[in-house]
Formats: sequence, structure tokens, C-alpha cells
Amino acid sequence: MRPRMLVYLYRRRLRVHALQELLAGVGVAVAVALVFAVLVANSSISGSAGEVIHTIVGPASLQLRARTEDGFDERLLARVEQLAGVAQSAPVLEQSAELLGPHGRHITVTIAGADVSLAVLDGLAHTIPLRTLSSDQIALTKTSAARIGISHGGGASTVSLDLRGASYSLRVATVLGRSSVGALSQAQVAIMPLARLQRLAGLPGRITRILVQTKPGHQAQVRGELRTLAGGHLDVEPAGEDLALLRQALRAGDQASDFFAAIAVLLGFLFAFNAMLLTIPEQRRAITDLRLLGTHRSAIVRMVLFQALCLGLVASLAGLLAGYALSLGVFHQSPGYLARAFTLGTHTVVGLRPLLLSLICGLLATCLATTVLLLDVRRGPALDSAQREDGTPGQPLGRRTARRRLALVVGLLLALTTAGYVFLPGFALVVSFGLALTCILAVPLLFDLLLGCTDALVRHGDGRLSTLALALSSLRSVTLRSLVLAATGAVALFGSLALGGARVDLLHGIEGFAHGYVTGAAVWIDTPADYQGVNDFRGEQDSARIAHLPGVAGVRSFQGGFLQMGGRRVWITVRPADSSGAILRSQIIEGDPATAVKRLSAGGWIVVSEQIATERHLKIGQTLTLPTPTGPAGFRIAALSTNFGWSPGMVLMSPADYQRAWQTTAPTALGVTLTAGASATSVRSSIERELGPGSGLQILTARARESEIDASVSEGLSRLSDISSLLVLAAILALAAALASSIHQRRALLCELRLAGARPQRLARILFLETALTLSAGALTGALAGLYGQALIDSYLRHVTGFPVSSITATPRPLEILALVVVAVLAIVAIPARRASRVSPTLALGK
Amino acid sequence: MGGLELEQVVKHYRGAGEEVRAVDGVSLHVAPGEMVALEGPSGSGKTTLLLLIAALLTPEQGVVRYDGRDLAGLSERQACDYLLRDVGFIFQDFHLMPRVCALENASIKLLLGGLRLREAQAHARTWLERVDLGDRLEHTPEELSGGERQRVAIARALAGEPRLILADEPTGNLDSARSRDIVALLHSIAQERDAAVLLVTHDHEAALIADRSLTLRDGRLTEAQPGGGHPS
Repeated sequence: MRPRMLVYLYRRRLRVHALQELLAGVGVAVAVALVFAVLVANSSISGSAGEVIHTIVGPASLQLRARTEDGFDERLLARVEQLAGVAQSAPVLEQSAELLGPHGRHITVTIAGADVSLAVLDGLAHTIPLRTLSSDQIALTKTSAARIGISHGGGASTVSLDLRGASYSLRVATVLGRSSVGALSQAQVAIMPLARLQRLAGLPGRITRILVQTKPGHQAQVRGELRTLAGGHLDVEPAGEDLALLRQALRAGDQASDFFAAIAVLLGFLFAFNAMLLTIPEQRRAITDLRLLGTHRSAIVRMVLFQALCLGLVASLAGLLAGYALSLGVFHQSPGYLARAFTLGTHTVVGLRPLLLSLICGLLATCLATTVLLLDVRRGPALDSAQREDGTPGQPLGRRTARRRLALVVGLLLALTTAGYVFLPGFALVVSFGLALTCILAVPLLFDLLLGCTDALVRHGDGRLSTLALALSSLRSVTLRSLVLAATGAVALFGSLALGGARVDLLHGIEGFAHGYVTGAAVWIDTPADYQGVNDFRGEQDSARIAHLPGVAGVRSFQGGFLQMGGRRVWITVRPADSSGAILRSQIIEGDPATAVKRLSAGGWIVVSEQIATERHLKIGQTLTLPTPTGPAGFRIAALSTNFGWSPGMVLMSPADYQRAWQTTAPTALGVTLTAGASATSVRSSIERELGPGSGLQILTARARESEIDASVSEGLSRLSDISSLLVLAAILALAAALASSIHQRRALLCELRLAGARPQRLARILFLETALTLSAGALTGALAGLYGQALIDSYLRHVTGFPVSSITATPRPLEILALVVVAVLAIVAIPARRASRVSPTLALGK
Repeated sequence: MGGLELEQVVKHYRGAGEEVRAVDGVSLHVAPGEMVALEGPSGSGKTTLLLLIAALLTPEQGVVRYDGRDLAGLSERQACDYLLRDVGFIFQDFHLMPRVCALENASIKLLLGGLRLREAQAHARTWLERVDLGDRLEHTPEELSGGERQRVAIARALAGEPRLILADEPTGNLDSARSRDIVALLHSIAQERDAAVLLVTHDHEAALIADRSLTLRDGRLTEAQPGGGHPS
């Protein structure tokens, strides 16, 4: 068959069956949109951060980095510059701070202090406005400015900067757009001259990084020399190391999103298959006609594949556009909880991988869905059956043997997934995908069971159940389509419940952690939006002033920060031993909480996340060496815990150990305990008055801080929630569309029932019952598999990523989603069902 | 006078600015137990006549009566009841539910009538046995031949024991031997159950089996001839 003929036949098909083709296309496009949006959203965080990092480091290949925000002596720069293999170097002081705009909007920014050498190194010297690095003002990137309500140019705007426990009012020197600083304009970053930031941060003569560009061929040599200079107190690493650390931090969330993308592909296939089933009667007749005209079977295969490819391509392209809009509209947000640890970009980055992957998924789903048609191209009775049948698609349920075999396969797959769950927790997401496939295969069995039960009910019921009996007969006549519809609902519910449920369990787990975390004090003082307590401030004097306030029993210092350790940005959290008990009781995975508290008090012991210990093959009692600012220091492991909600992992240690190894007493949070009968709210108010508005600190009651932690973590998980909701929405629309089309297509049968004397109301009831039975079979299968999937993902999060996950929570959510899908689809389908039930009986007689 | 009566029935269609008299002054009486064959070329108005008799169309002029009742005066509900209780329709294309066994297909009308499933199937089984399909009860239409499918359709139409059977080209998809069998079956049932049968057909051979055979041309009953009685 010539290409021109292929095009002609497809155009003819489009003219006659444009609506069915459109429906099929919409199904594929919805799935591609979901897949693409998820993949783009995933890759955008690291992609945009990567662009920002590359802009900052420019051609630098190495960096010397401090292990705390306190930095190191800037005089080291001179020694770096003297190294023979160094071409260029630039000092940077980076601090995390809170920026408050003129309209009260605030954001967390990375504030960078730099001098001209950085602009020269980056190649931005000719584009960046001079006053950025030479005035006493602050320069904001376009994104930072926009988020606090400052328009392009900055004008005479003034912002408030909360930095290390002090608040400063600063004029905005300029707003840096893409033409000035490239991709950096998309990051939540503020820039000021190095010396100025050193003064404001109380870190005179200190820097946190030296970026180093080596001469060609000297990288290894320079790396060695830098290590010598670092003397075990600083990190020497690739200049773009932050990107690798960010990718590691995002891995758990990305894998969960990828899992959802895979579920979306499955759904896409089912959507397309549903839609294809609508067109199959006509297509089968067309194929039969072509064969009777003497068309070779291979030509028919080419025609079917050509039509599938055309449909798949157009639908996938539409899906890519919709997915891009979705990624901008719904998924366009950087996880705020990472902003303290990483400099993040904010723009959407569309890579080649998500593009190709989504396109291939769309094409594959369409081609696979058309394989049913190719059955008619076989030798044997296909031609005859296609001619003889009345055109209603669908094959009967398999015979008893086929069902037994199917049950065997489903049982086998369930056994395999269970084995995977028990023995390979690291592959839990792959196993979950296997479970989704099992769920599809289980649908015919549950469907059969449901029909059997309904049949038994009808047989033992009275005449009032005759409508149900009719619905059963009607349902059996379109079994394959009913099964595909049920499977679509099943997969959508499975995906939504599995990840949605796991998200709820994770949130409950985090709530448990947050409760234990704030238990150590009734009122907390820290820098704004720093729920992890990683930004220190000059709090010693504040502590003494607060201690004298009425209602205050004591003030305790909490410390912490981030530490690079084996490709992870680990959270170091430091608490007085007596306040660690509550948190350890809920977070310890291996070991005894009471013993762990005793060991922490004794010093030299730490509690560490299970996944960090597992990675290093360490057990309780063995020693973990930490690269502290004073050099490598060994600590014995007192117990293994969850990751405290921080995906790269956590180390808990005593204040004494931390102060010795980090050489700092600066607190990152102050915890206030109250005298008997004192109210946390009134003490909070009195502390606020005592510290005054310029403190740059936030004062929260334990309850408020707990809520803040919960909100921050929820924000990080919001994408999973969005995807979960989108899947349900897509499933509702796809199911409703497919059911409505199916009802429309069966008008001839409905006419016959009308001619037999069925009233429209009776027909509407039959259609309603059919729809309800189909949906119930799918929803029930999806709900059961979804609960199992939830357990699998919980297991993955708990054992592989180390998140604090509560055991499966008995929430009404599965029932809510189930009810939502069934009710919403029934409500939508009620309209076409009502129209179809009033179809004129004359249609049955060809009028 | 019982059975089916049509008196000077006229039905027009308006299409492309032109008025077409689909049924033009037809008068007809089919008595209980009588089988009347209605022949005529395509477009002669046969199907319109059937729709008028089924109370799905209202005549512009004239009266259609069944058992003395004027069908034009029926409400929608009454029209449904008339189709459910009094009329049995048989189609050329069978209109069976695919992939649903013969027993279930034959029970549909009884279920619509409000019978319990067990009773409906028991009754349908009797009728399937009556049309020689007692050994094919669990077979789906896909597993049956054309003649068998039509017999299931007949069993379905007759299971409700209608007094008026309207057969629209019931042998159109069958070979001549099977056509004769089917028409003979309808004829014997008409006599046995005292039902009026109106058989619309293109098949003159089949029409000869009926008690009377009429020809409809351009909406008019132009010719009437005595039927050929039972086949020899």
C-alpha cells in the first residue's frame, strides 16, 4: 500500500469517525500530559538549580568549602592564588537569610557576598551592574524581587533582611534580570559586596567558599594542593558538587513521582484502549472490506499502524503542550524545605529526556491499543467473524479454564510482589508497578465475582430485581469494554490511593517527629522559616535577657547545621540530652531510646539515620567518622533512627560534642521552658517585647512551631498530592467519556428494548446499574491493590529513604476517593444515559 | 371486531420540500389467529406501516385500532405497556444481545414485564424448546447459526405471549429453506396462540405460506391475493 493510499484511507476514516478518533486522541493526550508534567516538574528542580550553579561557578572546576556558615579565614585566598595550577579564583560568603519586602511578603534567600573577582570568573563582569558589588545596598535577582513584590528595576525600594539574629533595612541597588546574570536571575538569591555582608553577618574576614579555575591539565595537582591547604578542616570538591547533593536529596521524591509517571503511562494505555474500543466495530468492518477487495494482510497491518502512529503523534504533541502548561501551572514550585540547604532555581526546564520519554509513551500506548484490530488480520475465522458479528465490540470472558489460569497468574504475581516487598525493599516502587499490572489482571476476576454475586442476588430476589437482571445481561454483552473501563478505574484508584495513602502516612510520621522535636521547650526562638535549626545567630546575650522574664524557668540552646558527608548533605541536629528522649522514642528504628539518651549525655556517641549507617555497613556501637570543621572526628553509634524528615539523613549529637568539634557555641534555636502555671502565649509576647522588632528572630510557641514544621513538609509533598488528585480527575473524565460513548454506541440495542416496551425510566435505571456495577468492580480492585501499594511505598520510604512513616493509617480516604469516582462518573454519565434512554424506538427499524 | 384494524390510514413525510405519502389510505384487518404477509419493494411504506401499528407513529388521517382501542389516543406509558404486553417484534437483524446466552436473550421481555429471573427463564426455556433450541440454551448468538438466532428472536418475542406479532423481514438474512421453516413456525404459532401476525417480507415464497398476502406499493395496498396456506 502506497503512502498516498495510507493517507487517503486515514482521511476517509477521519471524515466518518472524527468523534471517536478525537476521543481516542484525548485519552492519549491526557496520559502524555500527566507523564510529561511529572517528568518536567521532577527534572526542573535539579535542572534549574543546575543552571544557577553553573552560572555561579562559571568555568571553576574546584572549590574549597567551609563546613559551617561561619566560614573560614579569607586570607586562605591568597595562598590559593599562589598555587601554580590555579588560573583564577574567587571568594564567596554565602548565608541563608529571610528577606521581607515592602508589602510584607517574605522569602528565604541565599545571600551571596562577593567581589569583582567572582564576576570576572563567571564572565558576568561586563553585564552585571557595577553597583551590585560596590555599594552598601543589596541587589536582588528578578525572581527574589518579584516574590516580595518589587518591580523590575527596584527603584527606591527598601527591604528588611533578617540575618543571623539581626534585622537590617537595606535599599535595593538593582534588580538583576537574565541579561545581567543569566540563569541566576531565576534563583531566590540576593547579592551584596563581600565586605558588607561580612559586617552584617558578624563574620569579618570570613568566607564560605573559594571557587577555583585551574589551568588546563592541572586539576588533579591543584586538588591535591587544596587538600593540603584545607588540612582536613574544609571540603575540597568539584565546583558543581551542590547539584549532585541536591539530586541525592531529591531522589526519594523523584522516584515516587517517577512511579506515578509509570502509573500515568498505564492509565494512558487504558484510556487509549477504551477509546479504541469505540472505533473497533467500524475499523473491523473496514478491514474486512479491504480484505475482501484483495488487500494483502501486511498492507492492512501497515494501514493500522500508520493510523495508530498518526493518532499517537498528534495526541502526544497535544499532550506535551498540555503537560507543559500543567507543569507551569500546577507543579511549578520549588520545594521550600530545601531552600535552606540549597540554592534553587525557579524556572521550568524542559529537557530532551522527558520530551522523548513522554512521546514514546504516547506512541506506544496508541500502538498497543490497536493490537486488537490486528487480530482480524490473522488467518482463519477472523474475516468471517468480523463479517458476521453485529459490530458490537468485545469478547466473552474466558472460559472456566482461562479464568483459572488468570487466577493462577494473578496469584503468582501477588506472591512475587509480596516476596519483593519482603526481600527487596529497595525495589518497592518497581514492585508497586508490578502490583499495578496485577491489579489490571485481577479486574476480570473481581468483575466475574461481582457479576456472580449479583446474579445470585437476582436469582433469589423478587420481580423488583428484574431491572438488575437486565443490567447484568446487558453488561455481559459488552464484557471486554466493561473490563477495560473497570481496569481504568482500578489503575487510577490504585495509583491515587497507593501514593496518596503513603503521603498521609508520611505526614502522620512527620507529625509524630515534629511533636517530639518541639517537646523540649514551650516557646522557641530561631531565625525565620528555619524549622530545622541550621542557621545560627548571636543568641548568648538574648538567652540571658530572656531567662529573667517572668514565667521563664530556663533557656536552653539548640544547635545544628548541614554537613557534606559521602555525597549527602546531612542534617546535624544538636539537643540537650534530656530533651532528646521524646523525639528518640518515636524515631528510633534500632536501639533503646533510654540507653541512647544516656550515651549521648556521656559524650562521644551519636544517633544516626539508618540509611547512613547501612551505606557504610555500620552497626550500633561501631564508629562513624564525621568530617567536622575541626577535622575528622569519630563518634560511636548509640542508636539508628529515621531521617527526621530530611531525605539525605541526620545525625543527632550532644551540645558538648558539637561545640568541641564545630568550635562554636552560637545557638540556632533557643528553647524556653516555663515555670508552673505560666502561659506559653504570654511568655512568647513578653519575649517578643524584650527582643524588640529589630531582632530578626521569630518567637513561636511549641504548638506553632510544630504546625510550621508540618506545613513545611506538606509543601514538599504537595506535588505528590497534586498528581494524586490529577490522576483521579483524569480517571473520572476518561471513564465518564468512555461510558458515555459506549452508551451512545449501544443505541440500537436500547431501541430494541424500547420496542419491547421498556420505558425510558427503566432504560435509564438499567444503564445506571450497569455503570455502577462496572465502576464498582474496578474501584474495588483498585482500592484493594491501592492499600497493598500503600504498604509497599510506606516500606520503601521507611526502609530505603529512612523517612519517619507511620504504619498504615486507617483513614476514610480510600472510601472517599472510591465514592468520589463512582458518584462523579455516575453524575456525568446520567446526562447521556438519560438522552439514550429516550432514544426513539424507530431507530431499530432503520428509520 | 378483535385483532388489528386499520381504516384509511394516511401518513406523510416531508423531505426536501416534497411531501411523500408513505402510507396512503391503507385499510387492513388482521384477525386473531390469522397471518397476513405484506410484500412490497423498498420505500413502499412497509416499515412506516409497522411503526403506525406499533403506536410509534401517529397517522395524519384514519385510525389504527388493536382490540378495538384507538392507538393514537395512547399516552407514552400506555404505548409502552401496549408494546410490552400485546406486541411481539421480530427483526431482520435479530437484535440479540451479543455474548449473552439464548436463555437470557429470550428472557429479556419477561424481565421487562417484571417477572422474577427464575420464572422468566423457565418461561423462556419453554419457548426456546418450542422453537427447537432446547439444546442450545447456553449458546451465545455468536455460537448460533442465522436460523437459530432468528428462532431465539422469535422465542424472545413470543415469550411474553403477545396477541399481535409484527415481523419485519424476519427471513431477510436466511436461506430459502430456513425462511420457509421460520415463516411456517410463525404461522403455526399464530394459529395455536390465536395471535394476529403481520409479516413484512420481500420473499414471495415465504409470503405464500401466510393466510393472506398483500402488496404495498407507493403507500397503497394495491393488490390482495389469497394465501397459499401451509407449505406442502
